Amino acid sequence: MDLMNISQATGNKIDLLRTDARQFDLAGKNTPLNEPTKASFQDAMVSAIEGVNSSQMKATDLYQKMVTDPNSVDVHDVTLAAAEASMSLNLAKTVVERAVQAYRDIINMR
Amino acid sequence: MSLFGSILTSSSGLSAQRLRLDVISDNLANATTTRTAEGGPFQRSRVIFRPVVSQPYWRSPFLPESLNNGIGKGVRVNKIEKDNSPPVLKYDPTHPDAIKTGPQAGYVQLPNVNVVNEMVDMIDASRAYEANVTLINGAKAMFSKALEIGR
Repeated sequence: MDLMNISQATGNKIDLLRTDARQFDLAGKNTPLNEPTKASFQDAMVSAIEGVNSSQMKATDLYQKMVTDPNSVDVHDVTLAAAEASMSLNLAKTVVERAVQAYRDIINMR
Repeated sequence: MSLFGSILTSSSGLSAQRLRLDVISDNLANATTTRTAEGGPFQRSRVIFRPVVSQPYWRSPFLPESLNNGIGKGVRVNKIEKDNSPPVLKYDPTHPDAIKTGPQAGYVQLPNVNVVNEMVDMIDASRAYEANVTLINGAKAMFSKALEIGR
């Protein structure tokens, strides 16, 4: 059966509630319902740190751009990128500190 | 709102006020320009802003709550508009751009730029910029306070 693709449909696209695994989803596939997601702490941590890293890279890129081609960037964009990077890094640091603290608390249980 | 939601909103305000300052500086630089490519004196331009709203995913008149756009996402420039008010006339027959014939002979058409108004607009733009910067600093302070919860 040739199903219509979501990109061919026009008008308001409504995400209907799927109640049965035999119903098609937006992509035209009948994926199993409520599949339990197995997101480990490690995966969450790695993806979060990747996000922090990308924000640091963005700030560095903007700094380099400001030095090499000052007309192409606004000053506030550079400082905002730096502020965002430092905020993300602080958040990541706090989460890591809490996780390590929890680990130490368990280790020191006796 | 996401982690940097209010900061992104304020950053759109910062960019908008920067653009406004650019337009004001163009108006001031051309405050005595009598000759333009399209003919006639320079016309002052002004910036028209409009808010950025997140488009609702599903719009139905039968579900009024889904027509609600929620919190705005900042400001964006709608357009830069020319001020069509009449030019200022100044009597200066020796000026090369003076009107040669007709009842206004001898007058020069000067741009409709009022330097005092432009300066007031400039102060307005700087203060609005400062307000956005203050808001960003406030959001950052709130964020770092939130990190100290439970320490």
